[in-house]
Amino acid sequence: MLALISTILAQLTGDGEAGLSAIGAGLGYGLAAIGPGVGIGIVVGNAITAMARQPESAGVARTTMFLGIAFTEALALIGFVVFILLLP
Amino acid sequence: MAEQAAQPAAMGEEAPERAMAHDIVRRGMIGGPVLVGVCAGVWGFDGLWSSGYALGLILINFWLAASLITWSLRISPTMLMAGVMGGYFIRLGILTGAYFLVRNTGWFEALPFVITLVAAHIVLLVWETRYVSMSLAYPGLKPQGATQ
Repeated sequence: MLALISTILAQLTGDGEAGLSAIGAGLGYGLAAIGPGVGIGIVVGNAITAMARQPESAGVARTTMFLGIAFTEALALIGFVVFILLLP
Repeated sequence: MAEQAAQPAAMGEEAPERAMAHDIVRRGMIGGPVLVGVCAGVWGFDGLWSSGYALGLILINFWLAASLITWSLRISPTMLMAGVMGGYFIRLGILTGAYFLVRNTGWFEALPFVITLVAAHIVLLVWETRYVSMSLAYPGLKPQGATQ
């Protein structure tokens, strides 16, 4: 499948290497976004559980949740950086 | 119980994530110019604009993330999950769109842009985490004038 796409891109662009590079960039960005997506889901899910169990500590749960989301998102940003650097 | 959790811990007080985002943006305004200056020193005016653009995107990203959490928590915990997950993809989309918007302009340099993007995000978070760790009490920020 990848070979087919790269062949099509190579024919369209006339440059096989650039086509493969674009595929690699897109795949890298997409794959790098999956992990943080799962991580953010876990963070928010546990924060909701904590807030439901102890509403009085919702402030602490929200603070920790926001930090957790932001730290997890840094991984997606690194994937975005790789995407930018790989893109022809 | 879930409805109680959806309410802010103290009515009338600023939501903790909004307070943290304000703090991060304030620190970004203070510390960010140092990073932008370093990029300007290495890459010239192109580095200055690219680095400043990346810094602006990161600060908007933090503010948008906090606003989405605050807004969705006012509705319900279920909406919080939808808001955060949807917001994650929307913010990634905004970053990607912002990159493609300036990618072919004459002043854009990729390297200072990506260095500022990652460095500003991580440094601002670590900086903020130091203060959050110091006081575990709501709203999670170090009280003004406190010594420890």
